[in-house]
Amino acid sequence: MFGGAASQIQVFFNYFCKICPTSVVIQWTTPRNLEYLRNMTQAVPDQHEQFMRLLAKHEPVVRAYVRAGVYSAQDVAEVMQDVSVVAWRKFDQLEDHSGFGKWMTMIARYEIMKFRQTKARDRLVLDDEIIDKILQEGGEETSIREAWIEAIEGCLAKLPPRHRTLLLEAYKPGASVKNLAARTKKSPNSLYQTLHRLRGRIANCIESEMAYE
Amino acid sequence: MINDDDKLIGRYFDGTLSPKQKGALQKLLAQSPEARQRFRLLATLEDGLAERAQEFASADIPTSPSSSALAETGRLLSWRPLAAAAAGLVIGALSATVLWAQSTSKVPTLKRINVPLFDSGFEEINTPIPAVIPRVFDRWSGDASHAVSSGDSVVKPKQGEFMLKMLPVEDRKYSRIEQIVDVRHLVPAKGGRVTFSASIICDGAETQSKIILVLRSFNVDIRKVSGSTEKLQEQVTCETRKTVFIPADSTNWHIGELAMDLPEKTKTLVFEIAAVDLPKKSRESSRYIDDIKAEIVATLPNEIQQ
Repeated sequence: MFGGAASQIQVFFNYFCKICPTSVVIQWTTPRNLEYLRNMTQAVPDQHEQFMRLLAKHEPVVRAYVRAGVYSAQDVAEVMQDVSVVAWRKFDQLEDHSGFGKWMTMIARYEIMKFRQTKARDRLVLDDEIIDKILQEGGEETSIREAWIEAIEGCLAKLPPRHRTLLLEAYKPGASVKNLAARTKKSPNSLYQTLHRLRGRIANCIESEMAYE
Repeated sequence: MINDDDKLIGRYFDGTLSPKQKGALQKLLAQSPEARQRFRLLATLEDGLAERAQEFASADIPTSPSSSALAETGRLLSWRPLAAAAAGLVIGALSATVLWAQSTSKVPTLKRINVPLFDSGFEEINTPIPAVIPRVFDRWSGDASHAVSSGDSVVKPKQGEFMLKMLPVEDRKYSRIEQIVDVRHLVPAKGGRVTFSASIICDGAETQSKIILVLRSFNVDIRKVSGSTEKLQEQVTCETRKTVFIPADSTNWHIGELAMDLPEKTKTLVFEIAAVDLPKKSRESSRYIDDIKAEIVATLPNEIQQ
């Protein structure tokens, strides 16, 4: 899967292109970051391959953790850039790779709190104390979060197709509730209520899967 | 977790939280570990949905207001305003609005109706709890893993002389019981709100114990509520669950409770209790359930379904 150093870098950036919105990829591939990663990954290809495998495995779990600590989905991508770069910089200090997910989560907690300092003036951002508590507890439930993520697909599939479609339409990049409401001849408020209800059903289903499986 | 909490969290992620709601959410998250975990779950879901939506090919969304999708959406939402109405009435009952209501004949009054759960205190020791399949109605059924107990030297029933001891099921992490109740004659035509509570005690548990209360509503006749849980999922009109965490070494009864807004035309309610991660040997620790209560808060008592 991972060949020489050059292809590994390609995979690395392809991977980030896949997981990040276009605007973030542009930011991510700034000369500074690009040069840094190129130098690092060419220098230690074996280590890079290992890092890439671990990152690919744990990135969804860490990203979900980050989502709980930042206000918007756009912020997630921004924080994940910093988390990934810091994780790579410090990767050689990680002795036990089985703890990669938890270790990266710890990095994420620090990066989230650092990032939040730039957002402190937003009137709807929750207090640091609350978020830190959420992150502190969340750092201890990495395996639970993995199970949550695994359960999403199955629970989404249990929704009637038209509701599943509606929900995913609302989360498509660039989608707005206002436009979607207009398309479906509903008021934005009604649509928000519907989306809230559908999310609640999936969340209940995930908890059910967690409890019973 | 009741829907109102979910709604606050959902509004936060939607970016539609008002400053007042932000304050309420902060208070909730500061006080409740369950709410914080629910917050993290919904954050995970937010991210998961966003990821899937990126690869989601645009599907045809009906634009006609009379389309089946919108019809169903409308049905799903139709009971929501009642939640606000009910909440308003609760507040009203505690305020001067009551005086106004008393002088205005058209203003509905609040009425609490006990849901007639069979053997809510597990006192019927001569009535064994049958396995869940085939389903039974108006009585407890479950995993055939339960015993009515008069308690031991440490644990005494919360009320009466007996309580339910939940036993582990082989090769499963949980054990559950449920009761299917016909509520056609209890639910007002325009819905209402149902509350469900159970007293729980975990004896001898060295780690935190988890009990889950689940409440599901159906608008189908009680006799048609059959089949596996998966098959029934499509017919559920509303579902709420609450995870109750009991601290290790706790020796007190804990009350787990949840509430749910009832959709219109609810005919059947299913009350479920599940004990999770039961020890394989019951002597290691025990989970007991007792004093189960359920009631419907009706706002329009004169419009009971016929």
